Amino acid sequence: MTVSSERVEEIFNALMENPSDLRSELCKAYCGSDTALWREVNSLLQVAENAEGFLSLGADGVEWITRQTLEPESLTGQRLGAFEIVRVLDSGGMGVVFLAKRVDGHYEQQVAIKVARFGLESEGTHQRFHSERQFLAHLQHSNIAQLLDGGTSADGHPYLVMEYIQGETIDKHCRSNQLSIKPILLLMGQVCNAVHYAHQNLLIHCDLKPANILVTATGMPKLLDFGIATLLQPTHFAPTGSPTNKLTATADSTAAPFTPEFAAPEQLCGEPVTTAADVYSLGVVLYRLLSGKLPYKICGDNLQDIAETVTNITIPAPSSVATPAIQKQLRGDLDSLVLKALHKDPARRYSSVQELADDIDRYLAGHPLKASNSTWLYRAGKFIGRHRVGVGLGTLAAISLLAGSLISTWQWQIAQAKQVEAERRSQDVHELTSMVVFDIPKSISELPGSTPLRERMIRKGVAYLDTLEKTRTDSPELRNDLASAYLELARLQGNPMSSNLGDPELALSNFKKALKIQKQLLIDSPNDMNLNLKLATSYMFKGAVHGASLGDLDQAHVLTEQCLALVKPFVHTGNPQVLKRSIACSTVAAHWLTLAGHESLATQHLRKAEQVYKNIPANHPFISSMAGHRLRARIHEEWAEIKTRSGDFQEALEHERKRLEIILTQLQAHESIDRFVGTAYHGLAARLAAVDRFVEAQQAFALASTHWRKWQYDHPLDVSATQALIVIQGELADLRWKVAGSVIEPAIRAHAVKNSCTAYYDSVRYLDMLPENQTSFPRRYAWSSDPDTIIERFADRC
Amino acid sequence: MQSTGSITQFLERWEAGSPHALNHVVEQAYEKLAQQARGMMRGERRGHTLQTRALVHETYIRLLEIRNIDWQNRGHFYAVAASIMRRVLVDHARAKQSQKRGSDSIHVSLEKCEPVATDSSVPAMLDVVALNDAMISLEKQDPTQAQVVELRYFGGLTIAETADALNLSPATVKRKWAVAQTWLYRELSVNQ
Repeated sequence: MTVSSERVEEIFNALMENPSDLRSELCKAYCGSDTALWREVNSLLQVAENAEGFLSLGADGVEWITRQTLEPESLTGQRLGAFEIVRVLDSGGMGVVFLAKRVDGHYEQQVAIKVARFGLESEGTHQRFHSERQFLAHLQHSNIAQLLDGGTSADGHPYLVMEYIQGETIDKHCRSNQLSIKPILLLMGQVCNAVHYAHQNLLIHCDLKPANILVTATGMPKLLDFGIATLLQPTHFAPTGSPTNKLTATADSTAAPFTPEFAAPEQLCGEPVTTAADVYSLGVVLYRLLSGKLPYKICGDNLQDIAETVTNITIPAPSSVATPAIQKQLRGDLDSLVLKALHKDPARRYSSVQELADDIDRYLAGHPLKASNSTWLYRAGKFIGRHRVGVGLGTLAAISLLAGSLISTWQWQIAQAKQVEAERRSQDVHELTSMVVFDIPKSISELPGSTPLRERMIRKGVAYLDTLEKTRTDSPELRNDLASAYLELARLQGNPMSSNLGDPELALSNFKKALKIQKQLLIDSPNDMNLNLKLATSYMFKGAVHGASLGDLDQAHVLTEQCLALVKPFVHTGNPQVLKRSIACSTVAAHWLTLAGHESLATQHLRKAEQVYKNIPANHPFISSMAGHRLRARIHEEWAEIKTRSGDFQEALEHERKRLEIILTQLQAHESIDRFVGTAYHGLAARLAAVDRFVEAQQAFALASTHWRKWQYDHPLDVSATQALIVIQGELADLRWKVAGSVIEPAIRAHAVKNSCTAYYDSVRYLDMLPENQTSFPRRYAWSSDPDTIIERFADRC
Repeated sequence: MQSTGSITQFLERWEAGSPHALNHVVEQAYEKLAQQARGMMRGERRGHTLQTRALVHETYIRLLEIRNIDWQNRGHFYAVAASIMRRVLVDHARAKQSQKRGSDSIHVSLEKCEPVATDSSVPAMLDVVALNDAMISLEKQDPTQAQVVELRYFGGLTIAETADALNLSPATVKRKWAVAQTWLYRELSVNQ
């Protein structure tokens, strides 16, 4: 009979609470007639006292761990491959570096051998080590210590044989030779070139610091440890008490050890590391060499604290910490150069090490720097576009090319009067071009920085369709597609309501082309729902350009009314597209009317939108669709604006909260979620500010700014993000200014003013990023349609 | 940019594909893991730091290999770490035993085991392989008791932490620990 372990546990513990001389007797009483139970509990009782604390003993069989770890001295004099170990050069957490010499008699050679502290366990690890070593061996640059060989020692420790560099670390070199700024920059320029070379070979150093940059007796900088750290060290934590708190990850990840003093904020935060991290580390090294100091001190061992400190700290300009003698030389260009490399936001650093090197060159040659140039964001965008889209681009290019060559073949066939073939071929061209214009851009729309690429593709596709259309006027589908392509193109060029390139004039010209074709098509089939719907869409978006980008609210309103008139006859069909367009048009009409000061008309439109929404059956797919939720949020947004204007702040706030709730709960999966959340928090912040709820308003502004920055980082060419950030920071600055005005205590007041000025400064910085042709703001931001106001306030107040 | 976060949050991020997140977890958990490892090392007198660290490292490597775990919370993380430490120790103890087999006996007589509290001289070592075998029997009979032992002995967790990890009350953990320890002791004594 089996004994219940629960019963045993219960009785055993009850007995143990009693004096030991009574337990035996009590056990009999507790177990009663259940002899099996009694036998079990009793036998446990017999050993209970001896057993106490027995699991506090150490475990046998753990000596292997000591054996596995490396005793550096034991290797001296031993052979590794063709080399004999001479002496220990350096011993660090992850391994030991030996000086060794070639002993296979071929020629004399001194090398440095790094032996990993920990042995490799599995076959898989061995293979990985081997293949990565092969990869590193291909890295050949005169400023990078060459990897010569590698292997695994008899007791399983992987080792790497590297070029032995006799030299001193770059900071020591600069100090001992009392290098002035120019030779330091020349040296760092070489270092940058080497790092850039590695980046081109898909290697990120992740641990650039003076200790890894040696300068030889001839003045040649040499980078150590490119990719080595990750390779040698499947996992490691530096021993506590070591000067730097290294943190490493695995060989199969991109993570690598780094040194907090020189690590980028995103590295410290454990976020994915890109080449931008090396830009940052080079910035710290430059800072150090130029000013003689580190940008900040790292305190404590806790990575989280360090990350927080580094993320929040404002780095003083190198000139402000340098000795008076060199202060003057650093001030200005070199300050902005170093600080640009040290930007917290990777997207706002130099977009590549090459750019940093170029700016160093420009400084040396006396040319103006990119660091002081405001259009860098656009180059950053290009960089991101180039690198993140990566592989996909090749395919896209191939398809575009194919479409192009098809077109020319087809034109040739027409020229040769080969009508039948030309006819057949035109269908292919049409299909392929549709792919170029509609499918591919859509598929890459979520890729960061893809807006310009999409615009280019569509533009190209439009040109093809245009050629096709000129020779085949009999095909309504083709003309319909052409109109849709023009619409798509126009939206990407200047629809202020989504990612766009900020060129309203160009957008309008393409809207016009789309409208012209659509109107003609409608003449032949006036009752075609899709044609009506498409024309309505064109009207609505064209209206947005007039209203938001050009400030012509009347024209915007007129066009939205036309949109409404076109969809109205089809609302009864319950077609989701029609419902969506109808509600959207009413809401947008309300938007323009509100801005123009016609609140009562706007209210009517909003009610209409709500009415259409209410009439949709609850089980209609539109209700639970993303578009449905979006429009619901949009209606609340407009209500909030109307209520604010009529002075009903509490209700406005309520609508903002509902809007935010819909977005946060229903739209998380939407590709533009950051944009939505950013806008919604911004709205909430503005309403909170209006009722002087300072603390909450500032929190909401911060959240708005975070989401917009994220969006901007992913979509560097989207001007609406920059515009939003200008306004958010500007409104925040105004709010803080108001706060400062209500403070009497001088010290606190000064602090509040400083806070306000920081926000103004940020706003102006963002303003600086706008392309020159795009300084007019969407009118949604009634706060200031005139960038000059921001600059004025900044100048006046700060 | 997130600069702070609990172990649980980092675990979520690790699962979401950020390899660095595990660094944060292990860094946060490092002292704990080291403490777990030190628990194993009691009795070893030289080079303590290095050994414990090595055990942590081995655990860490294995943690990386099993990244498809659906992490629930930090308790779960420690539980997995404990189970891995157990495996690491048992594997190597086995390897060592097979090397030694034929020479002197590796079993330590339990008669020599004195409670650590009362005897500060070098305590005897536990035979991890034998303990592991006994725990397999215990697992069949009472899985929760075995879990408690795994977390407490191999994981080095306190009563409170074990309770947290297993979602039990501390009092329950204490009772299970007491009976399981006695049960295992009896099992090992009998097999001597």
